[in-house]
Amino acid sequence: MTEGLSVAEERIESALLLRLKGDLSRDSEGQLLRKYDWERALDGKLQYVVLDLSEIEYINSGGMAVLIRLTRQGRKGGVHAFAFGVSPHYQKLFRMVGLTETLMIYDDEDAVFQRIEALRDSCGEL
Amino acid sequence: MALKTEMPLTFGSLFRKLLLYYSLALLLGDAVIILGNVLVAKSRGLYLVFSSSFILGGSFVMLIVLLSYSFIRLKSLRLAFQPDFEERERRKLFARLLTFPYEIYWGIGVFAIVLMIAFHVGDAIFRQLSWSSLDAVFWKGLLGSIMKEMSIAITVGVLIFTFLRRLFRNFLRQLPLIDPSDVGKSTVLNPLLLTIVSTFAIALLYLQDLNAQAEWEGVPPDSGAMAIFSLFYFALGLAVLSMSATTFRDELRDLIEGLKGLADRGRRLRSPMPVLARDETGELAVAFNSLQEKIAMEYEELEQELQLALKVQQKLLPASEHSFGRYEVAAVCRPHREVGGDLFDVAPLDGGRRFAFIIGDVSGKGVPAALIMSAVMVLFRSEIRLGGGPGEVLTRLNRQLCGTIRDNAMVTIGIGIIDTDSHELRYASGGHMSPYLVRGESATMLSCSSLPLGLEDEVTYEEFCLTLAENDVFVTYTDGMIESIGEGEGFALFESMLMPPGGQELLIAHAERMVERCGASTGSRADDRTLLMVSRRPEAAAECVWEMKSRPGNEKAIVGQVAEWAVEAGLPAARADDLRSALAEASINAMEHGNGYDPEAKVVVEACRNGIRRIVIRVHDGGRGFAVPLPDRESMSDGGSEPDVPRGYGLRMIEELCDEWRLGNGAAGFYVELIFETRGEMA
Repeated sequence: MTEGLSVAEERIESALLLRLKGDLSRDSEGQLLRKYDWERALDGKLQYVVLDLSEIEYINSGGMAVLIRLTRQGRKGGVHAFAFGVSPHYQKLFRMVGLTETLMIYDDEDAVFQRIEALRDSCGEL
Repeated sequence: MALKTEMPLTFGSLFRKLLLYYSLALLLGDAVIILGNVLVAKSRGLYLVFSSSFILGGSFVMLIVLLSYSFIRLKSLRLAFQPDFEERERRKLFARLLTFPYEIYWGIGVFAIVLMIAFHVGDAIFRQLSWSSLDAVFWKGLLGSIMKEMSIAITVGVLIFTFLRRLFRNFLRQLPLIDPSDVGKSTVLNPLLLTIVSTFAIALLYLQDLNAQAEWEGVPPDSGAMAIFSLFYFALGLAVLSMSATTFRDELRDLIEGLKGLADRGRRLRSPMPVLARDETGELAVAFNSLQEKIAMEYEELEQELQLALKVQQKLLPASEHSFGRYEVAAVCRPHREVGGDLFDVAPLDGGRRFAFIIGDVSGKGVPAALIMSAVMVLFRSEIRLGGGPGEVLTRLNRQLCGTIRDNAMVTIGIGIIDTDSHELRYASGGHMSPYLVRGESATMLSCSSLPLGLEDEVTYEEFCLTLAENDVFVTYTDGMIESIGEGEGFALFESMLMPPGGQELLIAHAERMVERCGASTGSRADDRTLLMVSRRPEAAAECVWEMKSRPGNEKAIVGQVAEWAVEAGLPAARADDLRSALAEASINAMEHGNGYDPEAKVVVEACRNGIRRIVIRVHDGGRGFAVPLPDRESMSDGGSEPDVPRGYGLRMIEELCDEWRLGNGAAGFYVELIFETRGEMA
């Protein structure tokens, strides 16, 4: 049995940081898709979603499908998706299924938020 | 004749030789004068001591002068072999070494005149002669004496001249090559004429002296002494002339050898010919070097083009190893020249359920054969996709080739198609060497005679069919493999090496070993050598079996265990994650599509080693199979046409992560087989 997924949320201004732990599979739909209205950017309050995958042990194609749907829906709502803590193997799989086109992967949390800062500066907003 | 190799000259050894040559030549001259004084002039007592002392002392002074002059003129030789020795200096040194023997020759002449004057003045003083006593007889005697001394001076001069020219030739040979175009030209006649005229003058002057001596003494010439001295000078002249002529001959021989080497060695050119003079031989060496350089450039260009052609040809040939289900294909092609006319190719058909292979040999060698070989490869790849058995493909290929290749060119080709499920091999040959079937301990030649391709366009090619058993090896080859004709070679050697490799030898290693041993790789019979072997590996029994119920998430524990087994079995640790993900996807598909997530239905995973460097993981479900189309990359990344639930990623991942995968139906039901290469000996 997979261990299931636990999600811890942190809100940092217009960014939502989701710290994921456990396994990512089709069962993760409820916690990652149904719980949030990504297409409406959580009622317009959200510009960035950051996924911390450093404590994810297992991702299968069902889990990848969930991530693909999350990032595609977010893009429709103007939400940029980032991830960090992804092992080289899963980075390879993400590229394989085209997930890297909608999910920007960075080495660590600092790198992600530096990028977000840069994006905010270039857009003239804080 | 090989080029002469001389001991390397150094400045010190050069001067030791100069000292020896100068001393010997001067002593010889002294000996001739003193002997002449004793035997012919009958000098005795104090006068003999006086004259001999003067002669020896004069020679010693001349030796010192010669050595000093040589040192001053040749001191730059010390730097000649240093890397920073400038080209301009080297050219000056070259010119100096050419003119130095002439300088010494004329120098000796001038010095001898000075010595003669000094001697005869001293002689007059010694004999207390007054000016009034110098009558006609005295002057005639003095003239004869001067003639004799001049002849000896010329003897010494020409000897040293000849020695020096030989010595400097060796030195010039060791100097790095220069372009001597701005060094004054000379002719080979100069040293020869100098030697001939000198020896002639020596003989004439000395005989004249003997006559003058006789006339002065009022007696007939001493015929015995004349004979002895004539003979001596004749021998001396001959020796000196021979040395000059030999030097000239050696230079010509070197050039002739160089030209022969140029013709024999082909593109492997020898080092440049040393330029040892500015006469005709030097000009010949310069012309030879220029020709050699031009040929080298032409060859270099040709070599580069051939290397490029080889790269293109190598890219046309497929990889040496292939596997299709239980079948392994190993092929080795060794062109005799940079490019060759042998070819092989392997093509999967029906998604790998069947595969085709071709082996061929274009008549002729080199670039023309390689061009036809390339055309055949391209034609095969297009024709094999159009379907039909190997006989039909050969027939179509032949029609295409007849309209393409010119007269006298032909191609022998063997084509086989193997069905990996039924293990049926269909093979057709167009004039190609008969293949072998190796089964157990015997190798059987399978005759299938027919006409090579490219000769007649209306030929229909027949095929034969056989069923391959486990461990069978089907062997095709080109004639270069059996063309060595020594005892125990040719077919005998080829057949003796066909038996299946013992132990755990890889099929490709077996093929490479055979290509190395069989066939002549050198000499006039050398030819391109190609060998293609197809082996049916036995069905491997499962070594480990795992079971799981069809409940999402159950796969996670199993994939970890299978990955551990696989790494122990030889899978590189870096690929363990690939295996985990691919197996997880195959298991999920089995649970979902095969068993409909029926919690009681099981998914069975079997693992085994197949061959000696492949791992096969087989995932069984209880169903009859399923068909999930692979999504293409565009649809996977297409944000505009997003399906509600993206599907098909599992199979896409399986395809990307495994070295090979296939679907099948076995006794235990439908299965997905995942194959990983271990690329090495298994544990």
